[in-house]
Amino acid sequence: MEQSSKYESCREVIVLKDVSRIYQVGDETLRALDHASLTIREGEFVSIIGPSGSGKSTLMNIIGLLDMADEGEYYLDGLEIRNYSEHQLAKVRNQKIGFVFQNFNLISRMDARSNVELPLIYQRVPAAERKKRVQEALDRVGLAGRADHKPSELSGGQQQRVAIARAIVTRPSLFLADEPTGNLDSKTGEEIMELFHELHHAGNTIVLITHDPGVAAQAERRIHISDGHVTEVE
Amino acid sequence: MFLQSVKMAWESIRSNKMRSILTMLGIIIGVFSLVVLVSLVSSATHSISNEVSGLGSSSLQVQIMDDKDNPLSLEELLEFEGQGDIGLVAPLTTRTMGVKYGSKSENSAVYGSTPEYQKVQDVTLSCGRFLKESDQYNHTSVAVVSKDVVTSIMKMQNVEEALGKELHINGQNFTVVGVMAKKDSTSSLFSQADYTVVVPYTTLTRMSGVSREILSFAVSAKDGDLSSAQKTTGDLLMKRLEQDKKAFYILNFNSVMDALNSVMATMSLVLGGVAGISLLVGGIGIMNIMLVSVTERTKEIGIRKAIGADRRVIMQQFLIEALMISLIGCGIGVGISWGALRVAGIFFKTFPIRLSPGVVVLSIAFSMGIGLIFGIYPANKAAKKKPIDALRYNG
Ligand SMILES: Nc1ncnc2c1ncn2[C@@H]1O[C@H](COP(=O)(O)OP(=O)(O)OP(=O)(O)O)[C@@H](O)[C@H]1O
Ligand SMILES: [Mg+2]
Repeated sequence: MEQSSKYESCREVIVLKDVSRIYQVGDETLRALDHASLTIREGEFVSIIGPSGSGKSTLMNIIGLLDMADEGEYYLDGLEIRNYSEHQLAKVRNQKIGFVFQNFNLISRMDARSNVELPLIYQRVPAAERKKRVQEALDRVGLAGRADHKPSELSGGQQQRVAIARAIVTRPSLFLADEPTGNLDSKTGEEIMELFHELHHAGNTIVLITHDPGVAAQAERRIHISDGHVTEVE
Repeated sequence: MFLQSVKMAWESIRSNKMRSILTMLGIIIGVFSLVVLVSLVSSATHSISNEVSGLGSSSLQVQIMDDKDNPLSLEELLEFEGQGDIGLVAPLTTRTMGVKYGSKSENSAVYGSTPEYQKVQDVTLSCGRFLKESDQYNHTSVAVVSKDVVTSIMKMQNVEEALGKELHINGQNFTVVGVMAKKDSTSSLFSQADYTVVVPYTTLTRMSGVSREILSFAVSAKDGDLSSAQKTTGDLLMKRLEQDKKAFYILNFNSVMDALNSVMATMSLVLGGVAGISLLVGGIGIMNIMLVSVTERTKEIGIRKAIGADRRVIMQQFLIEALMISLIGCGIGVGISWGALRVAGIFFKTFPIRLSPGVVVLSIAFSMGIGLIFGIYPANKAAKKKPIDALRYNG
């Protein structure tokens, strides 16, 4: 992946065409996403910004195959995902995408090591290799010494590092982060952003949702969203 | 993957010990009652049928209650042999007499019979010989005794020692010529010790207070067909005893055994059914807890799906968890039953109590079935959650 990105730097990883997500709440129809179109290329670092309730998370969940669009087309790596089976969607999430969430989303009764190991188990990686890769991932986020700690025994910044380790352990090429620094103080947030920059320099595609203009400014490109519309692409 | 699921299930059970144990309690109690009740019934059945077969299930025992003042003689009785399906016939004239050796004396059942007794009553000898035809002719004073007579009355450890020794029976001396082996009925439900002495019929009927009439005898079947031998014997006795069917009684141990077995089987079924219901209730407990667990872990399910678990994997995880709870519960239940039966065996000596392996297998199968059946609904509920809905869930 990292090698080929040089030659195919114009390859379109994410293509959305007129995608809508419609919620029915009581009698009201709410378009959380309304004919949103955008394209993200391989190796790009893109931030998505917009006011609260504008549809950022909705967009991200569709891109990450956690949710399905009601209208429009979505191509991931050139493939229309509409016809994917539940099993195939799970496999793509597992192999191609690394998620980082605002509230970390770690499994609280498992220690850091087991949390990071989980996606590799779903990939059926043999135990010995799992152990090696989990160690590498924890090293990379600077948490090698905390492998035995449960999430409740870690600070917010450390928990987010565990989550990032879990995202990178499968070596995906696309990282989706929904306000990864939202629950952290600015210094810790900077440290987490540093990790994303490293991942970007290694040739990965990064899509990052944020409220913070300072964080958004660190991306190569910003996509603005309001009321479910993609209003501006810089 | 399967191994990983087992590991995860184990961790989830362990991380919530108290709740897991309470969930298992239903299964533990169900398995315990099933295993203990069925084991008790089957132990009782086993020892009773051993006792009954020890009494001679391969022969018919005939009692004549009313001889119409025309007693049956040995010669008449021997004419029964070979008729219809009757094989051999042996008189069972019996008296309880004091049997004395040295200073020790005990009341024993003394049978006056013929050499046929050995075949009809299925006697195996530990040593020596059985009665012979010549003993019958010569009214010899010889005796074949049971092992308990040798060990308890004659106080000898080795049965061979008893051969040739003299017993005093009712003031008369008898030479021990043979020792009968114990039937392999290990229990002693009906008799504490088996004091049996067999002497020639002709010798016994010469002793004081014993008449020559035959009121009791045993019949064997020609081809092992006891019920048709029973019919032939019945017909012969009807003719002999003025067509009075109340004048005699034929005991067929086979039909006693059949009746006994069917009563015991019904008992097992009823008790097993009651225990089965408590197992079923235990299963509903599992379902209840698994449903709570699914709701509680909605977020976890969402996380797992986000990082690559598909429906099958989630389903597998929850099913294995339900199966494990029921199987661990079953294991504990079987363990407690085993201990309880051992303890019961120490205090309750009437018959040996053992764990019935059949019911253990049955309860394992039943517990697995319950784990599966009551696990499927919660597991499916967990598996079909949409990733985003599960992730968004705030319990
Ligand atoms: N499951 C749902 N049912 C109904 N409406 C929903 C659902 N999920 C989201 N919405 C609505 O869709 C709109 C967009 O929500 P979304 O979570 O994408 O906003 P956001 O841009 O991520 O906001 P924030 O910055 O606060 O996270 C909101 O108005 C929200 O109320
Ligand atoms: Mg959001």
